[in-house]
Amino acid sequence: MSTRLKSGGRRIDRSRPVTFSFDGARLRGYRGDTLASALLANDRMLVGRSFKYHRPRGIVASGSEEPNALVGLEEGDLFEPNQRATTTELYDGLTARSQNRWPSLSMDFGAVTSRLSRVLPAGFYYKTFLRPRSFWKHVYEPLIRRSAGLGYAPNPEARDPDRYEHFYLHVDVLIVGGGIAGIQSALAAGRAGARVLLIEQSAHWGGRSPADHSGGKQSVNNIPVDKYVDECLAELGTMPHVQCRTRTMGAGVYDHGYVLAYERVGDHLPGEGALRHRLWKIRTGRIITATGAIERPIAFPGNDLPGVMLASAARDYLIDFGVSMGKHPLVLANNDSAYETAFLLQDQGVDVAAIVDARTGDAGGVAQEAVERGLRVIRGGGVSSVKGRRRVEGVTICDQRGAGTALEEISCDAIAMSGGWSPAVHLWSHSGGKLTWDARQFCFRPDVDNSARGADGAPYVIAAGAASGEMTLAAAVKDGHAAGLRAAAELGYNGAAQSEPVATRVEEAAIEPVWIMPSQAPVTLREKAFLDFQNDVKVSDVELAAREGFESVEHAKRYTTLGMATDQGKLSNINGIAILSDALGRPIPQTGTTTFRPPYTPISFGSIAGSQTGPRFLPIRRTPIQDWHEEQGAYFEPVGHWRRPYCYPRGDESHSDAVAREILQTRNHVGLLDASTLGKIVVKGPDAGRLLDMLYTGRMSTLKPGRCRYGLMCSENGFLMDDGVVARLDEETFLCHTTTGGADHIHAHMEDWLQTEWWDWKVYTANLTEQFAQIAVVGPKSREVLERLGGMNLGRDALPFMGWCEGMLAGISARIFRISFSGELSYEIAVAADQGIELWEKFLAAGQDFGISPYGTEALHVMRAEKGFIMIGDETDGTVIPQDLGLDWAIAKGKDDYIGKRAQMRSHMIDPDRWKLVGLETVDGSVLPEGAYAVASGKTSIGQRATQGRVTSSYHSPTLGRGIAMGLVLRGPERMGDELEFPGTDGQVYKARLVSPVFYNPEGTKQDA
Amino acid sequence: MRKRQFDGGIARIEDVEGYGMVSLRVSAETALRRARPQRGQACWEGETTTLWMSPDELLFLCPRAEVAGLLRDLAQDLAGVHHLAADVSSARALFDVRGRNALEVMAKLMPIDLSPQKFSPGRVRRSRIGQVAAAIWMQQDGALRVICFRSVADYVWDLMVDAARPGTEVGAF
Amino acid sequence: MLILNCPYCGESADETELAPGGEAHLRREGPESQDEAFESYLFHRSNPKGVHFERWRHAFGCGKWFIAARCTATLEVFGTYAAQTSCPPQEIVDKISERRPDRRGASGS
Repeated sequence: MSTRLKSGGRRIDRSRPVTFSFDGARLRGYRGDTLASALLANDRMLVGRSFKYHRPRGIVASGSEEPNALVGLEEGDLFEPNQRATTTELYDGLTARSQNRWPSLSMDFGAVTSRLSRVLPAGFYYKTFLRPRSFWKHVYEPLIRRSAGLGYAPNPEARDPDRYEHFYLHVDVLIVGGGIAGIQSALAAGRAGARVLLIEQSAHWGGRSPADHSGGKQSVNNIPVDKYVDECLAELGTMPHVQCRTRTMGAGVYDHGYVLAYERVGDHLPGEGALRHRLWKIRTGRIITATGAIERPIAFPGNDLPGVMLASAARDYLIDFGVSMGKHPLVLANNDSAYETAFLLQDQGVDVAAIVDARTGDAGGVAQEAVERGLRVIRGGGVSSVKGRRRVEGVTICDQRGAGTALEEISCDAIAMSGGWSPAVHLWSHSGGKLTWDARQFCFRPDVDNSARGADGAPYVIAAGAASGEMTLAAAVKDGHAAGLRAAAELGYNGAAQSEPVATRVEEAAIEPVWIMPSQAPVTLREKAFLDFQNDVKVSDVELAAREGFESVEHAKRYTTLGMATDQGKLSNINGIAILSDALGRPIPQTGTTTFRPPYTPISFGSIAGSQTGPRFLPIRRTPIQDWHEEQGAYFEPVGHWRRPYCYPRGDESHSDAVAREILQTRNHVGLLDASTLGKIVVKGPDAGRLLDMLYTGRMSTLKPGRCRYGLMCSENGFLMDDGVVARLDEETFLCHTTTGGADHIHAHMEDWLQTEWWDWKVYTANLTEQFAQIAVVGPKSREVLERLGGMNLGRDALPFMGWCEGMLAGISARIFRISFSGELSYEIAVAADQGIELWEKFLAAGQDFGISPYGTEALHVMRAEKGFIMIGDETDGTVIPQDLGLDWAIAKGKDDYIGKRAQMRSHMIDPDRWKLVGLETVDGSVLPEGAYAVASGKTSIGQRATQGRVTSSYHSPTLGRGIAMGLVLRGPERMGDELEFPGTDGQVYKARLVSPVFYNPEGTKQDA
Repeated sequence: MRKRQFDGGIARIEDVEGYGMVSLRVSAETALRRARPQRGQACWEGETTTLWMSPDELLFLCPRAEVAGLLRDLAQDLAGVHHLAADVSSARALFDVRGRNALEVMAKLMPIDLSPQKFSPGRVRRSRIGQVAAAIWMQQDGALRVICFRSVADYVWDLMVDAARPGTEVGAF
Repeated sequence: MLILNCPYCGESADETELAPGGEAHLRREGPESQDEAFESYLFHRSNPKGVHFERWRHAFGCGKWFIAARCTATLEVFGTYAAQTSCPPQEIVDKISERRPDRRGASGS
């Protein structure tokens, strides 16, 4: 049983006990514990069930590489599944629940699948659930859905009350990893004068060294390792240009020195609504990945039973938390480092059953020390089976070189295993750093000559310490120091000469690779040796993949799901690669690794969104009159990031009733529209006319000051992209209106051509969209309303149709355009945005006895359709040219060139069979469905019904009391009066006649009043 | 627009009113009668702040009442010279952000280097705040000024106030 | 996540401040052009795995268009320059030759 020892535990504060709950049981721990250490202190080794077979799972590691101890934390709005107990800092009142088991952890129904493991090997789902086909929807899928998955998703109604944010930082040297190498790098770079940020994912500094060297055999500069770490940190704290942060994980390395770091600001603090995570967006000149190394498990039969743990984790729990993994543990290893676990346990009074060392080569100093301590060492031994159902109770020892013949039974309640160390090369690899196989230490390590390269082509990632394969204390310290100096020097920081720190050296006996234990294990044993504990992938599964032809490591990974669990293969990757290589008879470096991708460990979605959630999700744009629309209870529709009133329902009016009322009020008397969202771009200079002649299809250079002209803009590919009225303000100055959605884009388009093609033309542009509020006053009474405001002569001759003038209207400086999108007598008035609401309210007051009221975008759209005016985005879809829409008159015939002209000369563009604009009138007056196609006889080459037209806009017209529509039809204008059939999606077929698209006042007498 | 003020967190944020703005497009080589800031800088003359916006674009901020005069002066100075001067006094919102943590608050929102070593009085930078275009500069007294288009003033205000929530100091600068 | 130096305002612009504009130094074909030349202007792009000359606009910044010489495979940036030119300036060409001596033709093609 695992237990808390009477003393010890560097990180816990025994004066601050806390209570927490796990699966409903109330347990005790201390501040400083992780959930995992506290569970172990309470003899809770069994913490979950594996994904596929529901096998009992225990705590294996002590950090973010943990594959098994996944819990659901907290409840309600705070509930979060799949949290690692090893990285969850304990706080008073913490609530946790184990996952993937029913009804309980100890009695899990799903464990029955474990008995079926023979018929559920890797890839079984590719071969099963295929027939009968009909079973898929009603039997297989529901079954799989119920049994698949690990944690539970939070309730869809839950709302995260916590807050998240981002932070942008530029530094010279970013060091990831607060272990001995990282701290050394920070010191060297900081002393040289560079701006340094040192980040550490856990809550404490020093990494593995304080636990590994607590035995006191080694030191740096003659100071005990943990004291040395404290002194370094103290010195770093005195440097203003050096920043050190804990609880901050390097999540990913991207291009050009961009790095994301994930700071868990508030996870260790109970409560809600506070800042929880901060995502750092860092630009750095150099990155030092001092990310340490991860211990490998050993693949022996029964290695997945709770009680089997990494030897380094056992040391961590002992030294950092005062917890012993068992009363009678066994140490199993192929390298020297695991011996320290046995020594430290023994020093704390724990009875170590034995040290089983799979190696047969020369024993080193540690073996000697073990003997001197009276510990039993079995050389060349292996474990061929583990006794126990839900917890280790004993092992069977065999010869590692054999096939598993039992030599003896040893009783033990825990196994501390070490299969060697793999440098954590994730961040090194993210942006292209390559790896090389170290044939002496049996690991992949950074190929230091092939680092990721930055914008200047120079390598910008430097690996240091164990992360670079420099595993010993002396090597890590030296390497860290060199890395810090190098990073600073490459950026031009040299500083004063620095002395290199000196650490003690200890001779180590070589590691011997043990990829399968025992090395000649038959398949019955290989089926019990686990590689991936979370996804239940065994040695036999990887060998099966190799047999079935999945030879690429990327294929083998996906076929077996090895390394695809939430731990991203941190404990399983290398062992799996070795098994695959062995099965295919090729060397490990030839197999290579799978691609490492960010994030290093999962980060929350909240941190990715930062503060841009809820009301801050989109930059909603508001016109100067927006408040008024909202107070009136307008119903809004999105137009880009604007929210424009669609209609203003009164009382319990339906939307369609409101729209009809607004149209009739406007056509019969006067209405008001907020047109502030339309783009307004000033174009000025001696070449302004020349520019506009190129950008528009028409000739703007001949427009006279005081006049307006409707213009069309096409792309170089010939297609209509925007339209709007251009006003000539003076000899050199034009004001171009664009559609609401087009303002920013058309301004950019103008600048694009001016800057990159005609850069010697003298033209300046300015986007003044936001400077003006623009109000349309529309209807037979509109002139009267304006005249009531006073200040300007707006008679028919003073301001004719398509003219503009400026002056003081009701004391407000205004520019008035006499343009019409509705076909009525109509004015658009532009005033400074600050005065928009004032003018709006003046119009409302002046027109009261005419029943003046605002109308929204739907009334606007219906009225223009009644007049046959096209709308960008309805009649155009990126494939429509002006000639399709009967707008040939807007194309200046004498112009040599304009953007789109050449494209419109292509054979497909001048084809008489192009679909062209017509009006459509249903035979029965109903409303044609928008988007409906007119069918023709026969079928197309791919067997669909032939079509000869489609509906581009369709509305009910209250003015005419019937449905009206516009559409594009094959040779439409030549077939007036023809009747076509439009099948709807409701089974109905609509019959409509081709008519002129100008349904209302075709003579144009109203707008010219 | 009603004047807002936020002082409940780690920086003080408020609407600044009473300013007019004039946008001037004129070539970099054209001499101006008034002071012209260096690239990426602001300069002050009387009550007018001039911001460098691009090689051929300047933005003047002056008291509202002086806008008409400024436009007249520019028209006179640049008569016969190709230029564009526009009154943009209503087009933008102007904010003041000050306090010990002001730079950090803005560094939560803008992808630029706002460390005090790099961002000092007179420095102007156009970039974005959240998803919208914005410009930021440091006044002579160390306070920050921020401008964005008026239609997204509420959005930018919300982002800044959120970034200045109590207890969210970063401790990076 | 690129970072490019804008030659106009001198700022190091994060990719999120920039709007991409495709291949640089295209020759505009007008109404006199043959179909093939026009098609090439509209649609054919070199799309190299290697040195590429591409247009970028400092959209959330000074608003100017500039050109970057960048390797599409390694993301190395050889330099950025003003867009008012029909071919890369000599110093960019020289830099590319220095960094990529094996590459044939350091001009904008």
